[in-house]
Amino acid sequence: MVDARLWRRFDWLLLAAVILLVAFGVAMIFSATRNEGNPSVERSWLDQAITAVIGLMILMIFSILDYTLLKSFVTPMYIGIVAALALVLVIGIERQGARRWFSLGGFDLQPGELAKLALTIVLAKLIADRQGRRPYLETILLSGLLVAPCIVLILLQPNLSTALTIAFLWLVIVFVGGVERQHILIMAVAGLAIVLLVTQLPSFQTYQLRRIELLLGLTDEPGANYQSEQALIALGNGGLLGQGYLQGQQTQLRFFPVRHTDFIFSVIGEELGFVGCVIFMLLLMIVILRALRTAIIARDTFGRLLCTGIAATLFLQTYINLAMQVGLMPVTGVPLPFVSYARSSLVVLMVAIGIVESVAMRHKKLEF
Amino acid sequence: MVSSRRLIILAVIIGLTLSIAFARAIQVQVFENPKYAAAAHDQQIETRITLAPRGAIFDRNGSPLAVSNRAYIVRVDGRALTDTATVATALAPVIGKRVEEVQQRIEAILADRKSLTPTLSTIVAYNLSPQATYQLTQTMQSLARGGLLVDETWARAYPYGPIAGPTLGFVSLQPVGYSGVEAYYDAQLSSPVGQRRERSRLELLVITPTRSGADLVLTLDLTLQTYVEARLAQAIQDTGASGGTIIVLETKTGAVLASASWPGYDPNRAIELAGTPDARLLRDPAVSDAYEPGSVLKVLTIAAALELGQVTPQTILTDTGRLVIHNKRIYNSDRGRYGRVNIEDILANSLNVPTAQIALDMGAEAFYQRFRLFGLGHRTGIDLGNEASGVLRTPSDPEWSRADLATNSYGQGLMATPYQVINAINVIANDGVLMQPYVVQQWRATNGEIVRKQPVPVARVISAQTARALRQVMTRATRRGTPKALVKGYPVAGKTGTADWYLNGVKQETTIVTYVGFLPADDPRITILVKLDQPQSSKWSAPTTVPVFHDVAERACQILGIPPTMD
Repeated sequence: MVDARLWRRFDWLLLAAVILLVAFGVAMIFSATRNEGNPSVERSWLDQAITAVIGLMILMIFSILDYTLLKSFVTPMYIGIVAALALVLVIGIERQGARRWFSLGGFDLQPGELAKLALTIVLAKLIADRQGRRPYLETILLSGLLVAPCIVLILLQPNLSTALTIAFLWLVIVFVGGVERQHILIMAVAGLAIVLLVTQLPSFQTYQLRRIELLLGLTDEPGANYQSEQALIALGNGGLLGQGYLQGQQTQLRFFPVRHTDFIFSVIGEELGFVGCVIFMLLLMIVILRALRTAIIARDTFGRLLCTGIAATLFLQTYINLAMQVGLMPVTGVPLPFVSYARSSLVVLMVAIGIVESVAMRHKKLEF
Repeated sequence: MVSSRRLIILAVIIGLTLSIAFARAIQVQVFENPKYAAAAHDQQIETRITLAPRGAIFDRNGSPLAVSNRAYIVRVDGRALTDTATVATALAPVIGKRVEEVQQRIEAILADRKSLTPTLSTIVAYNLSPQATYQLTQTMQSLARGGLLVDETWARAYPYGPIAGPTLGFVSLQPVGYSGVEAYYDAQLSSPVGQRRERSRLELLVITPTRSGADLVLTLDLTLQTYVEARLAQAIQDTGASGGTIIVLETKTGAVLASASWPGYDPNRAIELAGTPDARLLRDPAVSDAYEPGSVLKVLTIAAALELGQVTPQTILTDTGRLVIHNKRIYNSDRGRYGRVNIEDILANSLNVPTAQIALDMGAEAFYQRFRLFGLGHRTGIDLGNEASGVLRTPSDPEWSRADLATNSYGQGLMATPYQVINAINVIANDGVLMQPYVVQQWRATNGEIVRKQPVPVARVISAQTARALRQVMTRATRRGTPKALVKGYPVAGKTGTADWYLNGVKQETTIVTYVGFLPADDPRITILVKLDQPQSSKWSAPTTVPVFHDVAERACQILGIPPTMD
């Protein structure tokens, strides 16, 4: 079993921040859905809480297991994730014109969520194994070749935000993994090329572009910008101290949709005010920075890149979600990590934190 | 091991990026809080309009002539309506229109809403009964379609259809009264708009009450009115006239007992007619259309002369058969020359030349002063919407000439509404006093108070003795000139009138004929006007209007219980 001394290295602050986020999140989900009038939605907080408890157990299991064990599963993991992303396009269920989900008896699994973590592991191993090999450009291209099919498959769903998250994830891991200065320019050009390519996709043209245009006020269609307008009104209505828990008028009167999922931050903003928002943001910041700290103190490159990728993913999801809710980005279906009602995302996040804890626990060589 | 310096760079980038969201949150929540709080407040406030029914209108015996029923109005919700075909299928049978027609209308409204300045009303159905509305909402629910907004309102209904239609007027969907009683008494009949403002379901903010509008009781007698309308329709058929008016006044008060015009309209159909060429029917010609009344007004000239002592019933005048004033030649209608005549002869034979001579002898000032006192050239003040004032040129008008004085004396060269004509003749029946005619005799005000309207004497025009003397002359003249006007048991006094029909200022072959009379002539109770436009059977008044007058007079005496005054 695990040596008791390992627990001294366990990052209790990280775990505490995660537990607080999930617990507050459950409370806000309850507030956001209690007037819904639909029993299956009204019990979302309970589903989320149960998932969180299971998730915590998974977190502990992953922290106990040595993360280096993951290296052995990289090949099946990669093949599995590409297969899942391909399969979801065929047998996935379709919602609002996108095929992103497997329906597993009441639980919707989103392979895109899994792909972020799986690719983090795959890229971490690849780059860690190729440490010191020159030229690094070869490593960049190789890792890019591994990521590209996944991005293409996800864009076909279509799911722009997940595709961009993965692209960003790749850039960050490659950057931290030791890209040379002159290659940063190449990567910047590659990044720009990706953006340009994506904006030419037909699905982007009709769907995302429209949302961007709406955000920038380039087109106007009454009601089309309704979601983000309503979210912003709720957020602004909260003011400094908020209307009070369960007292948010816009929330309780159900003025804006998807309150308990993508727009949970607006509920927090209305009911708990700016102070509540700051607390949530600080907690999220703690989680991200603790993951980065673990990357810094990790005992090997594989662990360091694992934590880097996880921190990057967490950061990007947090930022996209917050930016969307404060009206800085177009509306896209990215949940707020740990807080939003999003069970497959929550489970994956718990696994990721478990891996970070595993890296943290083993950051110094211990004498047995 | 890769360097950790890049991780620190990454941490800084992450920190900076998140602080953008943080800064934006400060902006939205702290600095712009008032703006968003106001927006939230606006959204939460719900205002619902409540409206009590418009007041009802009854005839003098309490029969309901206009009532308000619970009804529903259906509007298109441009944001929610997408499936026009299905919605049209649900709506069409309820409002009795074809599906394609309804769908076209809905699509036109939807297209219109997208423009910057929508012009079309979003109303697709109005005056729906509660049953029809229930059926519609059920259908929409079972089809799982939205996009129609249903508002509760009131529908005006006129239980007797076209009976007294022009007098009653009609209301728009707002509802605002147009024409007739509905227009004149709009303020009394209307209910004040009530409001219920609440912050969604959280708190009730304000309730502004609404109250039912005042109920009106008319002077009209539904039985007499119904008869008069039927008799007018009969007269139209008999004479081939293009239109006509019959008014029955209560002599001593000026109360309107019946008022019929052809062609009238059914106020229940007024809103449908409003957008069609038939919209011109939506008025009351008796109060809004001035015409040249003709010889009926000779009575007024003679009354003025009697009052001034210029003539007496015994005075003998000379009819020269021809008169030239300012190059205008005046003849009698039969071009005859009657020689020595008294005023009874003038009235019995309706002689233009001696009447004009009387007016010329009287002088313009005295003549027009008296004619205005009779109510010509200005509104009677009757309580009906859109009253016309008629035209009476006086010497102060630049276009006036002495020829006008001559022709005005026998009712030509001036314009008057049927109400002005009957009201002027009624002065003679009413012992010399001009009354303000009225159709509403009482109303229940919104505070519950009953207001009873008192008859309004406007002016003493001639003395009672003059009036009585003239009535005797008229009674004899009627016996001689138009014996068909006589009603068994009642002495009758009246006067015919014929004037040319003008179309766009051009004299036509056809005429407008009028008869105004009252009975019992010794103590008059009712005054009746019969007017027919362009009768085909004869261009003269006597054969066309007099039989109608007779029938109406006889029936009115029965219905109103006026006792005979002679054998």
